Amino acid sequence: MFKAILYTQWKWSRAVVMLSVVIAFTLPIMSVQRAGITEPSRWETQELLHAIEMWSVWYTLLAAGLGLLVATTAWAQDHRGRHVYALSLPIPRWHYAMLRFAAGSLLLAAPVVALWIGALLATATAQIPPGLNAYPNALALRFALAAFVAYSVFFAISAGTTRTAGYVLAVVGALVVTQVMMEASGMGGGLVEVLFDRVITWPGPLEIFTGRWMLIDV
Amino acid sequence: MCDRMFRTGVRGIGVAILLACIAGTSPARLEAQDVAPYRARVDSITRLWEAARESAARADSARRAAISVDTIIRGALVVMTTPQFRDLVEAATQLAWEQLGATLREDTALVRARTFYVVSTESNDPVPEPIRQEAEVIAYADGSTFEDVAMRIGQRIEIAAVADLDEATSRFFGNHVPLRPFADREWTEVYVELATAPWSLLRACYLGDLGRCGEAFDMPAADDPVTGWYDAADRRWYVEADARWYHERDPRRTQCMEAGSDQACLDLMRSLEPGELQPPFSDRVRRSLAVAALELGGDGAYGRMLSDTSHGPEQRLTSAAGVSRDSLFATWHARVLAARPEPMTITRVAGWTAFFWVIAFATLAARSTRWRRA
Repeated sequence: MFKAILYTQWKWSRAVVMLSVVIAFTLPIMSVQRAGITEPSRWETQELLHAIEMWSVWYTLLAAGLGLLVATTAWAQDHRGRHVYALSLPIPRWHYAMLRFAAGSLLLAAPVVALWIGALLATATAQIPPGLNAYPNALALRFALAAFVAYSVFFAISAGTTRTAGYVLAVVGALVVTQVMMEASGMGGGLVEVLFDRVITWPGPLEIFTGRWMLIDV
Repeated sequence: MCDRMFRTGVRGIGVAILLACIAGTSPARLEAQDVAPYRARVDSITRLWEAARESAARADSARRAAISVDTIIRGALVVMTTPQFRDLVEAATQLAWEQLGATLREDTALVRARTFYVVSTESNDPVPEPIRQEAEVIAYADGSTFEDVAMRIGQRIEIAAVADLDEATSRFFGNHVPLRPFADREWTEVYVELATAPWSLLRACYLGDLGRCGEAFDMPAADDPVTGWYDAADRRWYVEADARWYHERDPRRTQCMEAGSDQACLDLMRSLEPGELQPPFSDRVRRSLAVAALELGGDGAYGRMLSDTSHGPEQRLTSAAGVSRDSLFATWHARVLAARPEPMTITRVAGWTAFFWVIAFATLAARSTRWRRA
């Protein structure tokens, strides 16, 4: 059964996965384009670090986008077909959801491996100035974890009904409205910032997205 | 209202000066310390008073010209702006003065009084002529925050402070005396420069050879910077990296870069005009040493730096820090190494936390919907 679900999920999300594979492989290589100078001066070394830092934001965006798209496509057909296919199967719902989750996770592995290979290739061919180090394995591991976290978050949201998604949106909207009202009434207005900080700092779920995503760093 | 505030501010400065004079002439303190710092302070207080009087005159002239200008005074800073930008400029002035206070502490009285007119580049109103003549105009881009404006004000103060130092020290700081604390980001930039510099002197300094750090800071000053700062390999590297400075057809350039002739490299580098030879450390790193010295010296550090008449950055900085040269370098070195950015690694805790959240959300997805009991 897992094979069938994996196959259908691959059919639905192959465009996304293939495109991600290409981008994930290319990103590290693009990010070290400035690392070709044989004997860089201190300014050129810092320019190189700056360039790599500029590219680093794309890793987080790719991880988040990949997680979002693979998670939503995993459930899109079920929602469209009013879950008739799932209900016709002789397994409980949790089992079905886990099969879907596992299939999506397996599909995520392809871009992760592509990024790892791209990072290894990029650092092997780049001229890394003295004082700097390459971190292809750490970058690939961080990308994998970030993509899986994003995938699981969006998978959990998509797995629910439209009403569940509505509730999530309503909670977010209510927070924003509360923030605006608190600011307008002079009660201070750091609610959204505080919550956001909690989410992106340890032990928040999105902590893995923060920090330095540097393929080459000090 | 602004006029009244301004006069109140001037009166406040007067009272502060009076108190400072009383405190400064206390016999007990005179016995304990040198006269030179007090002379420097009295001079600066006189300058402050003169500037305050000038500012009052300017405010009067502006009022006479019926210009709608708000004046904000924080210590030695007199900042004018149009009423529409008052809130932003007031916050910026406050921050700029606080930043100066964080480094200089009780020596903020030694900051030269400055008058600024802060205006947005988007403003269509021309700068009034009386103000243009007497105040430095700071134009800030639309969308700037008060932190940006505070930084601009602080930079102007730092550039003006160069006048209180001898030429060698001013040159050491890159004509920009560091009067504000370094942000973490700036220390990190210093770390990156130290860790990635190609020069052998800096590599040794990075690895903890404080004597080499001193040489890199040109303390004591090298008789021949070309050989004092750079070894043979560095020199070839220097010429290659800065090849654009040398005439393309100069045969020494080819001999240095391609044949590896050290004599050719030496000749080329020595042919540079005074000041053209780049020292191993950038201005920013040299300023970071001053920031470390002022932090280390605590109260009165800036006064000691100004009042040291030995003419030279080394003596001024060690006087400011109140410790030996080696202790100063050790403190600076430790401060720089502590600013190393988090390398691209994932801690075990971060990894397991991410894994925990994946499992948590997956469990959430497996639970509860309308067909859970199917």
